Amino acid sequence: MKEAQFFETLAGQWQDELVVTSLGSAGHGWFKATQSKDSFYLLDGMGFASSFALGMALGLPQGRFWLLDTDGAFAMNLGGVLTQASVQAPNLLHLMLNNHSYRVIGELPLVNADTTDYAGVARAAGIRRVVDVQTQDDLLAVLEQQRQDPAYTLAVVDIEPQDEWRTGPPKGIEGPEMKYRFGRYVEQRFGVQVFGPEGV
Amino acid sequence: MRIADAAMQVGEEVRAALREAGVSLAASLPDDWVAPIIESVDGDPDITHVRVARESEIVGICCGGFMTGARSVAVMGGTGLMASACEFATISERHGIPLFILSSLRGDGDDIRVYQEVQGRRLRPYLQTFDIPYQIVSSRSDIARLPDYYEHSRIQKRPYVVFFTKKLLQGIV
Repeated sequence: MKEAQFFETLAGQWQDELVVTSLGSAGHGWFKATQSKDSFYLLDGMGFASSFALGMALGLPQGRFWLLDTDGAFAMNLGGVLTQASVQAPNLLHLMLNNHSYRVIGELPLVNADTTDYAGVARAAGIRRVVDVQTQDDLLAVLEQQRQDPAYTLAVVDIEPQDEWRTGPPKGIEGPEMKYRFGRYVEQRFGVQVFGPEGV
Repeated sequence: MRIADAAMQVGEEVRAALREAGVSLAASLPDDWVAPIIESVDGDPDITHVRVARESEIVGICCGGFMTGARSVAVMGGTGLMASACEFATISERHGIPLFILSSLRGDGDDIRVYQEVQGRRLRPYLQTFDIPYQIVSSRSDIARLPDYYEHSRIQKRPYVVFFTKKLLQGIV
């Protein structure tokens, strides 16, 4: 699936899910498609957006989460697949963009990228719902299934990069502002307390 | 797994103090010293506990939990602190997200494991380099201070380590 079709389809289907993105093309593409400033773009901590999203999903079981991840990040925290398999948080949809490279730094080679079967790794780890996404219809089916029958899902999305989607990170939000913006959004939407009286 | 009754009693006291602090989410990777804390936490129906494959994951899980209002605790051995340097810096410190960590004071004077000697010499200087506050809990009465330390960690907006000594974790003191 071309990069544009993936992000535009996802943006068009977006309802009330809380979105977390990993460092690199996942976050860049999501921001280009949505200009969302209520999503959490983990612009660092490569590999651990998946752990970050898991903590969110466990902390707010009434929320529905989309995690936009990449193969480079996935490879950097491969042990995290075991943790996801042990928890299988039902409110977390893990969309992993497989672009076969370190896309955002110039499509530099990613170890064993053309050989590794990430979906196979996940299945062998014990993740019960693993989906290979090749087409827009596949993607729409995953989104619909997650809404109708929530279960932790790893969707491995085969992505064809496009130069016009080689954009930079979100502008104007990062670090502590990201924390406060996202946390205040969660407080407002779900009526939970993220920040205490001291503002932290 | 067999943990001595005296050590499990300490684990139970720590778990009770964590509940008093409002903790509802925990993530852990054990060493033999902190295992009693982990097993006590795991048995608490009011705490969601996640076992991980690598300590860096704990940083992500606990910081993510914070972002949705969960009060979380990280439990790991002293070596795990060293393994988590990048994530301390790029997830917790970069965003100013508090991260409350319980750990073992490995390599201290009563730890004669040869593979812990580097930790003994470098753990505290390492935390100081990253400007990470820490406390040392060495007696049963100190455990009651955990709720205060938890609130202190919130205003620090960064990793915050509470070390436990070997004799305490083994229930000897």
